Amino acid sequence: MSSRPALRQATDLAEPARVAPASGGLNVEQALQLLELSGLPAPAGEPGSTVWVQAVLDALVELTSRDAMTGLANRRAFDLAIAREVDRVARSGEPALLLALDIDHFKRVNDTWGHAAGDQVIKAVATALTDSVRPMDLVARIGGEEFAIILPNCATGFGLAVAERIRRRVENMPVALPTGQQIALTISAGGAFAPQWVRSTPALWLERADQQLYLAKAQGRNLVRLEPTSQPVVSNEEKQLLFDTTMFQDFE
Amino acid sequence: MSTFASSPVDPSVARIAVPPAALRRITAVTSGKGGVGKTFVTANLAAALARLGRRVLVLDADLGLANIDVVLNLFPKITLHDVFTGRSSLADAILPAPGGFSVLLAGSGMVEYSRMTPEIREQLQRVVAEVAPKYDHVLLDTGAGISDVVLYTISLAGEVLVVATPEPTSLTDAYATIKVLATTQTRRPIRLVVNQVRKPGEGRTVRAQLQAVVDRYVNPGLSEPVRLDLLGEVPSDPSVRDAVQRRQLVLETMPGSAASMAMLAVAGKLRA
Repeated sequence: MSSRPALRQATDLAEPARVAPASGGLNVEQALQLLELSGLPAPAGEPGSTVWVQAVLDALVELTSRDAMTGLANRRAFDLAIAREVDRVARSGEPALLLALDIDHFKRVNDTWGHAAGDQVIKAVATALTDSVRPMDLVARIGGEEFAIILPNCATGFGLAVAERIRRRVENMPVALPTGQQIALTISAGGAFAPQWVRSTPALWLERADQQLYLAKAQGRNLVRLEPTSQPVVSNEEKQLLFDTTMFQDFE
Repeated sequence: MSTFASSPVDPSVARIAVPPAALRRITAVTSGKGGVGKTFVTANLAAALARLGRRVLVLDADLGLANIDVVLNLFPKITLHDVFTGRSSLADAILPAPGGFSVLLAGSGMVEYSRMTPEIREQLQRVVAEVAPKYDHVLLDTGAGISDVVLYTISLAGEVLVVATPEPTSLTDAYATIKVLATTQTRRPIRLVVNQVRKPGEGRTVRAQLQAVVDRYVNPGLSEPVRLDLLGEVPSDPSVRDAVQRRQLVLETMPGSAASMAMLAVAGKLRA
């Protein structure tokens, strides 16, 4: 198979793979080895059946969408999700927030404590991010120590609170190394809301969030910055008068 | 104007002057909220105006998001995008539409025009100025909401037609649009069409409700008060759903339906 060189390293780490079960003439041994190696359950169904092939495909999609170290969405899955969200926001007008996050002084962690500690830090931050947001939000690892979160239907008034919650959680979560030492961590985050009702591009949106992240870093790190949003045009008092029930008794 | 501290409005939009006399029969159709039938009203209003003997052009000023191509079932090879990029002449991009009017579609190549740049501003203005003298009426099908693209497009028109439904979310967003227009743009008449009305007279109620809030919160800060001009109400009519499903104009498929009659009445008032 053409992908053999890329897989050699992975298979080297594993026990010699068993021969795949009969698979209806399909050449899927390597795919099955890869799934087993990644700890995914064996595909259900009669090998070679449509159900089974679908299960293999689903498992491969799952595998190619996840970051191997953290289990978060990887860059590929992120690109797909952000493109969908841009489309959705353009039509629905719902506010959606994109956060770009970066571990502060990550290089120092690697240089001081070694790469194993670096990996442990990345995994700990990944868990902290996932635990700080709603299940509908997409947390992705989009680079070495860079993360991004897409928060659909996030009211503009809540954006800063969400980002702050994430920042504080990481700040209050020292990572304990196997040696007993503790590493204090901080992250910086930048955020931007998708332009409502306007068709934008994923690149433009990410650039705006990145710009805020850059500012957060420049202003001393362990900081959250959101691109300023405008005040709501319609106040609550105006809404109340607009729905004054003396005139609209037939609503509901 | 304390409730209007800052809006997502491109400040330069506010400086656009009222179009010259040649552009005065340009109506920008907008809606505050999406999904209230703005494009449906635009297309059928164009057909109704055509039936009254007017030469009408509809311009997809939502730059590809308006779905007017879907409503009219037209998917042309040459679009506004080709005109903007200089690949095609304006005349080649204008198509005859089923209702006896002309249409200029944006096409889906407009993704890169996500934000209003000086170039797009200039191109849109040029296109509108060029087509306006050739037609009795130009309808600009703008986007929903109050983005800078929408506000700029409206600034090119001589009057604004706001499409709203009696739903609370539609009312709120229609009000937001009216407020932003009143406080940031040169005054132009604001007309109202209430769509998906469930009982006769609901359009008048909606207008009165919007006007009451405008009088209380918007007009006190203005030298000249905003008066909303109700052009008509379009009943929630099964023939509308049928026509939309079949991607046809209700004026073509069910010319005698209540919705068609309502659209003709709106056209009559708009022309007056």
